[in-house]
Amino acid sequence: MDNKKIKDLLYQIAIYEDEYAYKQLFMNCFISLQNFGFSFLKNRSLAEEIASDVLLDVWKKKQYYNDIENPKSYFLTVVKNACLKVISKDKKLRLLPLHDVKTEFFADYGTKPNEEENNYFEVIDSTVSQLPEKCKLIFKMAKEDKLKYKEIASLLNISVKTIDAQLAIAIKRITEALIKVKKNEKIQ
Amino acid sequence: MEKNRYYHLLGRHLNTEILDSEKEELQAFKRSQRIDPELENIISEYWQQQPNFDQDFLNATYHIHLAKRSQNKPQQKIFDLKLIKTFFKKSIKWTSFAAVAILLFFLGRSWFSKTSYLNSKPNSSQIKKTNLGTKSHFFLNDGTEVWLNSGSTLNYPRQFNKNKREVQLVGEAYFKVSHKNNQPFYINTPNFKIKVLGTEFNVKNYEKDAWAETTLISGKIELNIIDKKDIERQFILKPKEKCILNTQSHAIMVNKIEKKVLQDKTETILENMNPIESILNDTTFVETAWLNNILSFDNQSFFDVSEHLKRWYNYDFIFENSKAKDVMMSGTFKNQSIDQVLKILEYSFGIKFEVKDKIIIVK
Repeated sequence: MDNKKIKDLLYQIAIYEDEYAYKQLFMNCFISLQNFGFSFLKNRSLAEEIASDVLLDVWKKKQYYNDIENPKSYFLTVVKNACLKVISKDKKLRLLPLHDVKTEFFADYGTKPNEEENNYFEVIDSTVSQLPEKCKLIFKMAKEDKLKYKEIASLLNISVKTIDAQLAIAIKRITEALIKVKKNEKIQ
Repeated sequence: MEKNRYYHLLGRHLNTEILDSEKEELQAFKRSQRIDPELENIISEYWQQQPNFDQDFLNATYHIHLAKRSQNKPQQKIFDLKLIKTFFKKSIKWTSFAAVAILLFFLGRSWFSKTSYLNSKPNSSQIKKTNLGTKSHFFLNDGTEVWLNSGSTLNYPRQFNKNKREVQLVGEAYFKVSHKNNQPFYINTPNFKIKVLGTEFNVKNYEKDAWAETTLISGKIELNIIDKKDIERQFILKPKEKCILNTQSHAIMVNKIEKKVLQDKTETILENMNPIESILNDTTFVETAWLNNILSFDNQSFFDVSEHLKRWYNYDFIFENSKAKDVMMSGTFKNQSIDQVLKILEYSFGIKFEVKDKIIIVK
């Protein structure tokens, strides 16, 4: 999700009712939004529905969305609020706090490993997938959604310091994994 | 501890949150040899990679999303509130009943208007008719340009059908059909049915003429010719081709047309009495010469020529001398009065005329 690209698409949608731009927007944002929703709800179909509703609203209020300064952050905030609403409404869902859930598929849902054959990238991919849930989420939000520390902090209701620390953990693990691989290469 | 500091810095660097002072610190770590710079490069490269979304999954989801969008489901919000839900349960049934009733009413109206109104509607089609001696140039509402030669009738709808455009022609006309995908242009004449795919061409099919012609200048047309036995034959004309049909025998010829210098052969003879405006510089097709107010014949019998003149000048011909009908002639006239034309014919072919009111007697 690139903010500038999203803004361009929203402009196209608002001015020309451009169906192609709308599809691009969907293709670029949907997975991030629903993965983010899933981090709250732990319910795949609910998260999908919320992500879909958020993008539906873009088509309904084209002009309104054209004026938004930081749409990426806005979308994620809307997802978060919708999720919290669902949680507070429906206590039957019995949601678990973030760090208690270990779902292997969560962060990789809807994404495929890159086709480019790079041994190191594969190592990093597998390391990331084994990170603690919260750490993984922060790593993905920073890398894939290209969100600022501040934005992540307000979305997840945690401090910037925590994010700093969590990212450092992720990078530490990745570096260690890479060092291991390099050592093995040397031995061979 | 030092290494942990490095990871923090690298994280901030990747996220472009690093401060200028911290940049120095990160560089110092790299120089210190305690860190393998290659690893940092790999991680940076990995960080720049765009996530590879599963396109099949996204496409399928987008499909569902679009279906949801087109539903425009506002009811869900109504049902969110339990009070409204129970309160309106019955009344919603009533409103839907009313909606059905209104719908039926409108359907009935439109059906009614279709059956009885449509036939009596005076403006559903328009007729453009040119009298003898006059020509007409106009546009149809789809942008098609039409030149209607004298003594011709074009019948066309005021508003074209969405699937096809159809006109009826008796006589001669030149069409510049505006191209429209999925909306072919049809021209029905007594002898041809022409399907057009955006093009310029001339159609000539006067009722009395022995020959009906279609000449294609550019584009592509499909000719359907129905003969006496109701057998339909199809021709596809290429540019610069002309299809000639004998309306009696239904013999069909397809000729290539050539640009000709329309030379007035009588010019030399009549030099002194009628200086003709030189049109030698213009090369044009005999078939479309009429567009430029040029009346042109290429080896045609005087009877055929007289039919042309009749339409062109609105005079009737009576043949007292039936031999004159078979005199073959070629020639070109431009912007000349009927008197001048008759004089030219008299000089060059020895045919004598007598003009009474609007009737020309051939002696």
